[in-house]
Amino acid sequence: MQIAELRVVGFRCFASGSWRFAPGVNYILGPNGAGKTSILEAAHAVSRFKSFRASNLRDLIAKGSQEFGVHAVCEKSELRLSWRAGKRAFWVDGVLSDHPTEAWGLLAVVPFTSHDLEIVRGGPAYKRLFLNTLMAQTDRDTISRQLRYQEIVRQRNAYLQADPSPDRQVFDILTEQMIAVGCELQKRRAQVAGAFEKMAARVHAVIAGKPETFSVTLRENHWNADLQAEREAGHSLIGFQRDYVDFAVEGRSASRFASEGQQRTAALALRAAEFLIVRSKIGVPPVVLADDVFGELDPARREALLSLVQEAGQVLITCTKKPVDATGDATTLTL
Amino acid sequence: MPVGLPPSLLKLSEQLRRLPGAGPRSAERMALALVRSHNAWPKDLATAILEAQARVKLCPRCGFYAEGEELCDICRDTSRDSTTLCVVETANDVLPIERAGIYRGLYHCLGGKISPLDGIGPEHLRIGSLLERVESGVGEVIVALGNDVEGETTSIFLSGHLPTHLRISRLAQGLPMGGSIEIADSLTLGKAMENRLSLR
Ligand SMILES: [Zn+2]
Repeated sequence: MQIAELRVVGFRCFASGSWRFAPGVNYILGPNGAGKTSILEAAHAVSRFKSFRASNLRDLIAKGSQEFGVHAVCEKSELRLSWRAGKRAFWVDGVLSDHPTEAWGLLAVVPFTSHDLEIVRGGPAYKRLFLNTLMAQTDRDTISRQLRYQEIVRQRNAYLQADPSPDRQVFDILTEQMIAVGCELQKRRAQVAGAFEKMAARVHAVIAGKPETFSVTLRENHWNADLQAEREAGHSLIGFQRDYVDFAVEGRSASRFASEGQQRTAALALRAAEFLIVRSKIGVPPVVLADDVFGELDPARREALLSLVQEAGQVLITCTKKPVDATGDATTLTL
Repeated sequence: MPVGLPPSLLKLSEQLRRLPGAGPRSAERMALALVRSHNAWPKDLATAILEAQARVKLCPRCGFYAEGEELCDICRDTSRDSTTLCVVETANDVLPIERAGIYRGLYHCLGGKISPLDGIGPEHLRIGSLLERVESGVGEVIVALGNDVEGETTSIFLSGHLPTHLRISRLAQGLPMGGSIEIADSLTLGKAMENRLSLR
């Protein structure tokens, strides 16, 4: 997987911009505030329709602009994402895509950013989202199922908040649909979580440089619908969107008990595991988007991490200055 | 809007732009064609709009478009198979099915779909009149509601309320996930109607 060229309009600090990338390692250099991270963010957005640091696509619009566009020229196709008047649109090779679920993830990327620490430190919601995204990347069937499930939950929550309570049968019908789609997703996510745990454990030990264990705790939520209790709560209490997920280092919850160093190692390990799992699933290495994280690492860990992703087709790394030990054949782009 | 056009022309163009499918440029072209016309056409058009708006009502039996208090053309057509009813969301959904030319039964427009998000429950839909209609000689009901969550919920609700002796089916897959009837092409819709699935 490779990005030959990335063009943006009205995106973050760029009124317009265009950058060419080579296969292999590409350093994006520049002082703070020059927009290095925004370039990675654009690549991430055109792949996954979201940013890795902003919660809404709207936040990516440049000041003074009403819309933004990102255009990625990849080996086999050209992808374009635009956000205009509150609406997202996506083109594959110039053809407007009617079904964004088919266009999602066509360009496979794996971000390595400081925000990955939030996945390790944050609550179960962060880890669920991480696993759900990994599931969407490796099992494309689940993309439309996940959207369908969210839509059912939205309807069911609206039912629970409605006053007076509407027809009871509508509750039962929505519950039935939620269980049908949710159980299937739960089953598939358990598989993803299993594969992820195995891979992350291996990778974590390599990056840590010692036999430290990494494990995933997944406690699936129940499906016993209770109209009265759920009406009182004002939202669905059943369902896979409330499954408990935690990551543990040496058997202790990474979010609460792990040391800062262990958390950093875990953050790198989960992205490296994502890279390796996606690569083996789609048969080609995804593009690695590394935001400054390589620079923060001690040489030994950087070496270990680079060796894990060394077969990456393309790596885009931002940093303020090129590391002294960078290989000579790396491409450099200075902002 | 470009500067330079007189206010009344701009106003007309803005009104035309509210039509489905009309962009700023096509609205402007339509407005110019109207004001530059030398015959009575603009007046005839205005009259036709007002007349249609005043006369077109929903058919009291099936909910499709009809004139005045009359039954619609489809309900009055005695050559159609009155033992089969096709349940759709709105009157607009009848048109693509008719265009597909594969269905010869009658219709029943619900006037919406069950959607708690939009505050629409079964009691807001024309379900009562559907249950009355099926009592008189109807043998089969085809539920054609699209496969989004609202359509699915409404389909399941109907299958639980229609009398058990009826044959009930729904359109087969072939419609895109989350797709609505209105945007499906005739070929897809024809296939979906032919391969309809049993709802119970
Ligand atoms: Zn009628």
